[in-house]
Formats: sequence, C-alpha cells, structure tokens
Amino acid sequence: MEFYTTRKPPTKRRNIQHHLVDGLQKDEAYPLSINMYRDPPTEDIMLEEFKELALKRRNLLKEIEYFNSKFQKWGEDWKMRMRDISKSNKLHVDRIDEDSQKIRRRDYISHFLLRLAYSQSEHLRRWMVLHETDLFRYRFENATEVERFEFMSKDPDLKSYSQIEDSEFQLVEESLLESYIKFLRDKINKENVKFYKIPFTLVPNLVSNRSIFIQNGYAYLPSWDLQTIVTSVFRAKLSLALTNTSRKLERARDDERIWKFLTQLDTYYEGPEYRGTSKKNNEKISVGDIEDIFKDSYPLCMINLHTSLKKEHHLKHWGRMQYGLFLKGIGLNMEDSLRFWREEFMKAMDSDKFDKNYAYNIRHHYGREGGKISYSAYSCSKIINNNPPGPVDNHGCPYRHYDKSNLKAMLIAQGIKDKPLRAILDLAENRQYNNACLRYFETKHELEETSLVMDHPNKYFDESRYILKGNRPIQTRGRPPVVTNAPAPMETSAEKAIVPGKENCLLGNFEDFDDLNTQELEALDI
Amino acid sequence: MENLDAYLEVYYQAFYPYQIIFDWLSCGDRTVKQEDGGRDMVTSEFFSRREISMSLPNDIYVRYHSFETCEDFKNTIVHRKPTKIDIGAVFSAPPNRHKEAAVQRMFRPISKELVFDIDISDYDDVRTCCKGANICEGCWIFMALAVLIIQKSLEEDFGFHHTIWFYSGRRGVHGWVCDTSARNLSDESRAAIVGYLTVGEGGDKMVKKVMLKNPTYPALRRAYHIIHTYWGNVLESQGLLDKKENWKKLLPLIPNEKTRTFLAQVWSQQGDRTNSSIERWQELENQLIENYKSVAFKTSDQVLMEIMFQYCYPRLDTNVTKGINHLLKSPFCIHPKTGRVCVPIDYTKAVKFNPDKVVTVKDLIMSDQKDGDQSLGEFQECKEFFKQFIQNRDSEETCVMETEPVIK
Repeated sequence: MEFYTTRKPPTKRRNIQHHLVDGLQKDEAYPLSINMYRDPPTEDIMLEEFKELALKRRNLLKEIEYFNSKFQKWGEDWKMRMRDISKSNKLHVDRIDEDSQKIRRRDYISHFLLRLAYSQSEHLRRWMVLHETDLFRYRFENATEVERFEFMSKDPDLKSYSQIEDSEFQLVEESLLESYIKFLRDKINKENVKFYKIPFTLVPNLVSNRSIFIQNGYAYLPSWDLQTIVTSVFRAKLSLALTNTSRKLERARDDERIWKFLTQLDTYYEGPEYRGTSKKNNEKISVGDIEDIFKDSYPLCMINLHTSLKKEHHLKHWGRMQYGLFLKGIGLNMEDSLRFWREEFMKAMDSDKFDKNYAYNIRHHYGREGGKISYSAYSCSKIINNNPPGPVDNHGCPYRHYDKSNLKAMLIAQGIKDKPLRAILDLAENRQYNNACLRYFETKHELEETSLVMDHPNKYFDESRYILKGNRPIQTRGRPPVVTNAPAPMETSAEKAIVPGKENCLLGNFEDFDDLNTQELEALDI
Repeated sequence: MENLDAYLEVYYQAFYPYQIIFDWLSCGDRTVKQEDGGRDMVTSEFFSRREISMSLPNDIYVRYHSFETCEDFKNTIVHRKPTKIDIGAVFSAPPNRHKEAAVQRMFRPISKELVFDIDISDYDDVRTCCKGANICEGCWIFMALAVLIIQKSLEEDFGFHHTIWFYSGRRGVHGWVCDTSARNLSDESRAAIVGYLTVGEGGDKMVKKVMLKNPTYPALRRAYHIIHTYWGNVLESQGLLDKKENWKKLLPLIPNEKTRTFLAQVWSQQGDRTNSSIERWQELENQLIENYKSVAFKTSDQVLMEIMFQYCYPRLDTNVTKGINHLLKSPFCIHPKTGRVCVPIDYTKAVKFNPDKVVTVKDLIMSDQKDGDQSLGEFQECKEFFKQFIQNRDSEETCVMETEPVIK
C-alpha cells in the first residue's frame, strides 16, 4: 500500500479522494456492497482520516465481539444489534443513494487500515479474522439475490464453482439425502434445490459437524448454504493476507507517527490476559488460601477440577493445563504452584515420579521450559470450544460438557436451588454457557442482574474477590470505551447491584479466615 | 525393559531401516549431488526440511533436528541411541537451522502427513479386561475397529488412498495418511476431519455420550455395519453383560425405562453368568423393540446403534491429528517399556493382529545368528510391507515442494 510509506508522507499529500470518486463513474469506484477486499486502495489519505477510519473499524469489530459474548450468534437479538450498528457507524449501506460511494469507500479503506494494525501478532490476526468474517457473513446474508450474484460472478475464486448436473446428482442422491433430516430432505425434493460440488476443505465447519454429504474428497453444498463457502473463502483470504501484511509491515516503521498509532491501536485493545502478573485486587493468594476460598470464588469448572484433584490426586493433561494456568492467573508463583501440585500428586505417587513426569509441565506453564512462552490462562471460549473432554477427562465447561442431571447435582452441591437453579439449567440448555456462569456468579454473590460478561474463569475469580472484599461490581468493566451512536447496552444501576447488608456479612466471613496465619491454613489444607 | 541400552545399540546398527524411512519421507523427491571426495550424495528437500527429534536415555529431549542425507541420519542415530525417534513436519527451512537469524522469521511448518493416534487407555471406561497402558488380545478389538472405521472413511469420504497403520509398541495404533493432498492440509482442515470422525461428547460426567440424528449419517451407518459385524466379539471378549458390575454400566444407555428395569430384574435374579453376553444382548434387543416408543423420531435401531457406538466408535487423541506441527513416533522404533518394535499393521487383517506377538528387540538380536528365524522373518516382512506401501504411493502421487504455505 502506498499511503503510509515515507516516500509519500500522507500529510504532505494533497487529499484527492473527491477528485478520485468524482472522476469515475459512480458505480465503478466501489461497485459492490459486499467485498472480498482483494486489492489494497491506491489513493492517498490524510492522517486525520486515516486515524478516524481505523478507529471506527476497530470499534465496529469490538462491538461485534461484545454481541457475540452477550447474545446468541445469528439469533434475533444479535441480528438486531448488528442492524443498528451497521446503520449508526456509517461503514455500510444497504441501499444505493448518493452517499453510498462515500460509505463504501470508507468501508474499503478502513478494512485495509485495520489489517496494518492487526497483522502484528498471531493473537491479533486471529481476532481480526474472526470478527471481520462475522461482519462479512452478516452482510452477505442480508444482501439481495442480485447483489450476491454480482459478487459471486465477479470473484475469481467463487465463479468457478458451478452447480452439478442432474445426471451427476442422481449418482449420489440416495446417500446425499440420508445426510439430511426429514424436513430438509423434503425441501430438497420439493424445491429442487441445486448442489455445488466443492473441495471439502472449503467448508470445514460443515464437514466437522457432518452436516454436509462428502464423497471422495468433495463436499456437496446445497445452494442455501452458499454463505458458508463464501465465508470460508473470505476467511482464508484474509488470514493469508494478514500473514503477508505482517511481513511487509516493517516498511511502516519509517514513519513514526503512523507506526506509533498502529501499535497503539493494538495495545489499546488486548484485554486482560491473566498471566499472573497484573491483578486488580492486590490480594496475595497463597497455596494455603485455596482450600478456604475455592467454594466462594471459583467458577464451577474450577471447583470441579479442584475437587477432582483432591479426590483422585491426579488430573489428566488438559485438566492440569486448565487448572494450572488458572492458578497462575490468580497469582500463585511457580514455586507455590509446584508445591501445590506436588503435595496433591504425592498422595498417589512418589516424589520421583512427580518430578519426572509433571514438574516440567508446571514449569512450562510459567515459561521456564520448552518454548519459554509464559502462557496465559484459558478463556471461556477456549475451554468451551477447544479440546472438549474425552470420555475419561474432567476438564471443560460444566454448562457445556455435562449432561443435565450431573450439572444439576453439581449446582445443588454448591447450594444453588429453586429459581436460580432452574434458570441456570435453562441457560445451559439454550447454549448460553457464559450467561449460565454469570447467573451462577450472581446467585453465589447474592447479586441482582449485573452487566458483567463472564468470559474468563480468572475474571470470575477476580470479580468474586473484589465483591467479597465489600466492593460493588462496576458495569461493563474490561470493555474499552466504544465510540458509537448505538444505544448503550444493558445499563443497570449500581444501587441494585448488591443486596443491602449482605456485603458486610460476606466480608466478615472472609476476615475470619484472614486471621489464621499461613501455617495454620497449611495445616488445614494437608 | 532391562538392558535396553545394549539392545538399542545393536538394533540401530543392524536393524532400524534407515533407507526405507528416508525413501518414505523424501516423497519421491531426490537429488544426487557430488560430494567433496567425488562420491555421490543423495539428498531430498523433503527429507532435509523434515523435523526428526529424539528422546535420549537420560530424559533429554532434542527437538528440531534434521538431516541432509540418509547417512547423516544413520550416523547420528547410531551415535546417540535415542530411546524414541519422533517425526514432525516439513518446514520452510531445514529445522536444524531454525535458530539462525535469516531463517528464524520465516520458519514455519508447511506440510505433514495427516496422522492419527488412538490409545487403548482412552477406552478404560468401557473395557473390562485391562486398564491403563495394558492391552491384550481381548481389548485389541477396539483398536481394530477404530482402524477399520477410519480407514474406510479416509478412502470413501475424503478420497485418501495411501494410509498406513502401525502398532505403537505398547498401548495404541498410529495412522499415517501419506497422500500429497493430505500432507498439504491446513490445521483447519485437519480439525474438520477430526470433527467429522468424532461421535459423542462429554467427559466422565456425561453418562450417555452418543446421540444420533435420524436418519443416520451415511458415514456413521457404514461405521455401524463394521461395528455390528464384530459386536459379538466385543460382547464375548469383554463379557459386557456377564456380570452385574458390567451390565450396570450399559443399561443406563437405554432410554426406555421399562426395558431397563425388566432386564435389571431378570439379570439380577440369574446372577453373574460367564459367556452369557451374546444371549443377554439378544434379550435386550427383543425387549427394546417390544417396548420401544419413539423418542425424538429415533428408531429402536438407532438406540442400539448408540450403545454400540459408545463402546466401539473410534476415540481419537484429537490434538495429534489437528496440529500440523505435532510430532508422532517413527515407525520401527522400540518401545522402551515393552521392547516391541513399532510395526505396520495390514488393516485388512487388523482384527486378527495380536499385540502380544509383536516382535521385540530382544527376539531380534537373539535371532541374528540363525537364518530362517521366525522373529527375523517377521521383521523382514514388516519392512517389505512398508516398502511396498511407499512404492505404491510414489507411483501414484507426485510431490512438488511449495515454497509458499498451501492454505485452502
């Protein structure tokens, strides 16, 4: 891209955007309302606009991230929010009018600006791909038939996928129909749905769920699922483009103003990572404390791992990762961690075996072994989506990975009953795992509905410690300020947040424990 | 195993098939260069950029090793006598140079076989004969079924035709899919294949782990036919319904209460009876069909299917398959605990394979003197089988080294 190199310092250049748009036929400059963003824009841009557009785009994606955590993705609430934000942030048009070229230009350029800022680490790249893809899919699904056709037929990757002929369809018809439930089978027969034959690698999600018929390396995609393949091509192209941008980005270093802005956009963004170094509570947790506080301040997943560990004196690999990094996140240093695991494991094995097979693992969490990376604790989305527990594992998210009766038993064991119990079970059943966890949190801390987003076990812990020390939960903490005209989501008043009188009682209990010295606590523990 | 070091020394000198491994990993790509002394030197981009790492006897693990020629490979292995050799990905540059500044920034894995790892210990909640790392002829049936089911799916669904399976030497099997298109799969595609091959979910807190949709997905129907063929063997070898402690685990998987209580009552009265599992399963089928009321449009066949799946459907160590950068033990390694050689399994004979009869390093070394020895013969056959596989692959697949990563 030409507009940021020192060879052409942006501020010194004349702003020629209007000239550019005016000089062309209106439809030629930005003919499409949905875009693969293949070629970087070549025009020059003022630094002010550069910053404004980059921030706008960032905020848009940040909002999408928030919607994803709060609402069911692709559900009605989610779509409504998406519609509102699309209208208010002026990066997207759904009808052609005199402003549409301007808006499309802003959309196009802002996307490329964000690529510069978000190509710098694996973490950021993944984040951008995820949320740009959501945005793209939302737009594709809301486009008209004509727009979609235009888009597909002009795209070099997509135009080659043509519908399969009836004669070819008949060869696979029987097995193909068996891949669908009755409702869809009827639909295929009645509406004479067309199929596209594509490499299975293009539709990983459909393959992974077995919701598409595949044979000999090809997937048979019904026309109603077209957006998945388009989305998948979009995702792959963007991933690749970001990796390439990261290699070329060095050139931008020459211009300090831009480089600083781009790297700031990045740090502005990374939420708390929970590597055990920064803590909001200034509370020192030691090994001895754990047994006393876990029931009050652990989320259900960690209560489960902790009690399993106490019972079996062992956890399997992913259990150790999930719990070990959580412990690191609440502030145990490496020596404490080693002591904690050793004490427990040695009830079932000798010290030698522990040192040989497990100590490395713990040191690895702290970046003292192997790749020397200091690992951060697993977030909810990682726990829910990666490494689901195998048949003999006990890690994972209870709301996601337990059946109803086991979840219920576990909740009851934690003193949850009646209405909250039913509410939590319902939320879990409706796949709103984060909200189920939040409800559990609220019930345990005797709070009315809060606007917290429960997306990380360590956040649960920190919020819990914070409240148990007599503080009140702050609304929407952890979200950077978002510049938007959309109505602010779910403000609840702070007065309602804590049942009056209760905090003293909780604090009192907590202080009782504090009176014991470390040795006494340790004695209780072992 | 005792004297492992001494055995390994001889094994790496005289038995480990370096040339075959080199041929396998070089994927048909070979270049002949002139060495300084005038001798010909055979190299391969694919081989020299392949990570080969080693576990050394004193618990040291060496990663990112790589070798230019087969001779280099052999010399180092003979010299260091690793207890285990692991094979990783092909990288954008030779792995042994990954710390050099020029290489570091662009160093990344670009291709690897699609691999599978199945451990018998993951079946501990369903098998009744052994636990942990132990395996016997009885529980081998779970491994055999996993091999058969995955093999069929790779061929028919994904169009991969060059898969070879190995017995790991102790508690599991490894599968290597060596088609060019499989080697170039992205992490995302690998994860998709894992998802496709995974049935059921939930950890130890989920009693019924397998739920099927109606109609049964074609690949699962095919898996069912395979399991059904050997279900009698499973029932019998595992005595799944012989004893109360065993059938107590199976009955809760039946969604029909009347059937459950009836069978529990009858079987409790009868008491434990050896070899009654097949007969009792028949009873279970009859009862279920008789009492069955459709739940969520599910047929009684599917309920039976779900039970069989919970016991027998392949349980993959998914992370091994998902990551292009994941390492897997080299074929023909010696398992340090059992001394058994990591030998190929002909999947068409997977059910008959007996892990207890696999040749050990000790057998081999003792046999070295006598021609026509059985262990030596078996070892030769294994090498021949692998060699044949490589020849087939090389005659049907072409390999081109891509400098840019293949992203699909």
